Amino acid sequence: MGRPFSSLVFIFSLVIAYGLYFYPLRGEMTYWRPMFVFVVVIFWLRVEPHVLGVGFAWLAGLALDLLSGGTLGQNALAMAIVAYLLQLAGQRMSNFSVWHQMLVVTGLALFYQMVTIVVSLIAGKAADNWFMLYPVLSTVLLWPFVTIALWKLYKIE
Amino acid sequence: MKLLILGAVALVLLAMDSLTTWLDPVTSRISQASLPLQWLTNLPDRIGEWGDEALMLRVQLEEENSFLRQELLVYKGQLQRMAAISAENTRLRNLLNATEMLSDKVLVAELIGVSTDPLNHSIVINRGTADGAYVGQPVLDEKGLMGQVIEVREHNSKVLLVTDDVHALPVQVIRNGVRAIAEGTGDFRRLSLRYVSPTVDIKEDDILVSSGLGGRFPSGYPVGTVIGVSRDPGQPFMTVDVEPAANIERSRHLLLVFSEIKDFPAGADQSGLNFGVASDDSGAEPEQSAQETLAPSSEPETVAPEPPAEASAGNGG
Repeated sequence: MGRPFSSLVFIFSLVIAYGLYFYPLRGEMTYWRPMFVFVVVIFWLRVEPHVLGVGFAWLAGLALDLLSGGTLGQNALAMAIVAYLLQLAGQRMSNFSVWHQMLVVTGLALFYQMVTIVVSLIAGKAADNWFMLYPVLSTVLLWPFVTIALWKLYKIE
Repeated sequence: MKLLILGAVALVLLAMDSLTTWLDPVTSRISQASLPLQWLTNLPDRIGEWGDEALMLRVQLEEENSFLRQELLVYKGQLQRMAAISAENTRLRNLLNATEMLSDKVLVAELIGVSTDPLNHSIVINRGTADGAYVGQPVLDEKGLMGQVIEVREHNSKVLLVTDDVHALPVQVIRNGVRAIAEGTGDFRRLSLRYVSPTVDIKEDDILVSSGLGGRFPSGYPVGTVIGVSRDPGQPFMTVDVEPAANIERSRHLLLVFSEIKDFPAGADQSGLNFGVASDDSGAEPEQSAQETLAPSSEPETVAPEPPAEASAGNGG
């Protein structure tokens, strides 16, 4: 990539993502919280594949684990695996239409939740509820908006 | 390659965190870092709440005030009866030579953070060791039992909610005293009773209160209502669903309960005639101990007056 890595939008988007992750939701809404950090990380992995990789995703996941006080390593593992899968898919995703991208994101989000569920089950948590899949849906619906908004910001800078 | 190394590190961390307690000091310290973030994300709610209070019309305030006065009157009336009953209870316990009695003080706490993981039902409240909070302390809201403190820091503590699926507490059916264990399910609106044999007399709309058997929760606080009982002949136990009494996922203002097991004065249980004095003692003593516990936080929020104290004083005369 010829242009310098745009750190301002990058930091801004991550801060917002973590903030939204912590925004207190009430009741049933908790189950529907989109995976904001996941979306933003995927976006940046796709935009800057030469700068950011598995390591960045792993760190972002670890930060999530530490801040949320959940089982340490759970999100880190899931993020790293998702980043790896995205790298395998290569650069193709940038040429996909929004619908196609959403399909890919669905797959990645499902995979992410699967890792989370497996880890939760091993850690002795009851993760056999259907609501584990709700975030996948809300995340996919969020994807086009986030990616378009961030892309615009990225272009401006 | 990178994935393998990082994945392995993540797995090691996972194993260490879930199987051992080595990482606990580190994680609890670092999760403190999320508090400013939680405070920040709580701001919209706080501003809304402040706005609701500050921008109220005088008429509305007066209305609310008179409504609250009426409510207070009703509760005071109920309390008078309660006081007589609790004095009587103390006397009867004395007759039975029951040596222990739980006396509860409460401290108002405010919610400052909610766990974002739907599998991890815990909240952070704004009371810590500085306010006398301790691990294992029961937490209530205005309707019933919410959970217990599992981690205390200086000015805040983490509360595990009763609906978390690692949480279980001993309960009792009000109607007939049947005991059971209520376990969280990971669902905010449902607990389930464990090991209830199909012959046990339990049915829908039964109210469950904490039985105090575990020694952690004081007895008599509402836990929930039975909303479904199903007997499957193929299963060794019944499936009993319970709706928690507390507004688990909505309450912002909570009560921390300081429950102390205290011994009766040595002479009280022998002298059957000395009831008034005995109950007076039992009423007065916890208030001192509570003042000790609550001393550091000398805020107007420390609601503490113990109902039996005034009432038994009134009764004695």
